[in-house]
Amino acid sequence: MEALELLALVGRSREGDQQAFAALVVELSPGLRRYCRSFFNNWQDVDDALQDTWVKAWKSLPTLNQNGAFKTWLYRVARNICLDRVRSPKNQVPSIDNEELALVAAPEYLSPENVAVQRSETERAWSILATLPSALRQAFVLVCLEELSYQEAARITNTSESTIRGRIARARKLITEAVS
Amino acid sequence: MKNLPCGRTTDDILQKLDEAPSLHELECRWCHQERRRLKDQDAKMLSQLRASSSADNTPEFMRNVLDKISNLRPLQRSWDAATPETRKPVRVSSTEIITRIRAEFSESRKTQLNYTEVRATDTSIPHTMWLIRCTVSMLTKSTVHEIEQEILTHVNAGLNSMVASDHLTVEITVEDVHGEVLVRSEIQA
Repeated sequence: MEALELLALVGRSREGDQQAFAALVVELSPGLRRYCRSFFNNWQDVDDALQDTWVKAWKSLPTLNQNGAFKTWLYRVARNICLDRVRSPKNQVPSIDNEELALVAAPEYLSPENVAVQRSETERAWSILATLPSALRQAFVLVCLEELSYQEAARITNTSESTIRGRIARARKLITEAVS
Repeated sequence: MKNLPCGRTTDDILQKLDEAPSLHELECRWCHQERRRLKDQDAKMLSQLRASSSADNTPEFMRNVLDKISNLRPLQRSWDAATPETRKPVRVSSTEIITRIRAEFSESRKTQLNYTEVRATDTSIPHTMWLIRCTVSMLTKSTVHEIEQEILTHVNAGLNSMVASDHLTVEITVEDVHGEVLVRSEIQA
């Protein structure tokens, strides 16, 4: 989606246009879902948090003052929801639920063999990431995976750009050690 | 941490992996190789992580989210206004006025209307004094004056097709492609 189109959708959503907001949900959910994954060890918790994020975002849209700030604002909403959920008593024991992943419907264009390989590689990548401290994981996902700027990542995580830079370097170092 | 024959370490390269390689890294084959290895490893990891969400983001999940949102009513204001010709009392919502204004902008080649906000500024009933806030992006190179005039024309046409207006203030925000504010201005009609 082009940047101009995104701005128009954000503006129309702020006006109360549910169709425009639905388009944002479709467009931005994959990236937001990956960011939420940096807080949890299973996809079920991720999807619950993601759903809450979109509902909260819709309700809170009147507080957004600038269309261009939407993405950062949305990720901050997601971060707060994820942190609340992680801190809630029922989430004190993290679980890695591989059975959950096996139940997710596969796209038709992938053969079962490819899907199995891809899923195991994907889960391996996430499990490597899961060994990182939360702050490093978040910085890595926001900047490297979601391609947000250092400035945007800093705004989302309430920290400075130089801190983000340092966290990414440390995350990469730990990943390199885990991979090799 | 791996020590390279040139005296540098893997950490040195990792620190600036997102930046362009330094002169030393370009000339030193050890650094060059290590940088490439780390970049490849990074790319592989990211591609595996990215594969998860696009494949697993099921239509059912989207439907659930959209169902929840459709049950929440959008916030909108309503005003007691007057019809433009006969000045008969009429109840209008912000959504109705915005729809009219958006219709006027639909043919515009100079500006893209991103966001509109409507307010009645008088305390009397029916309301006849209005403030419209418009946030637009420029589609072609234009002067601020040209943009202002076009926005005023469209807003006037949209508003006056629905309600009587004795005084109109239009607050204009022009934003760039990333949504950063370029210009703010205010015009009266």
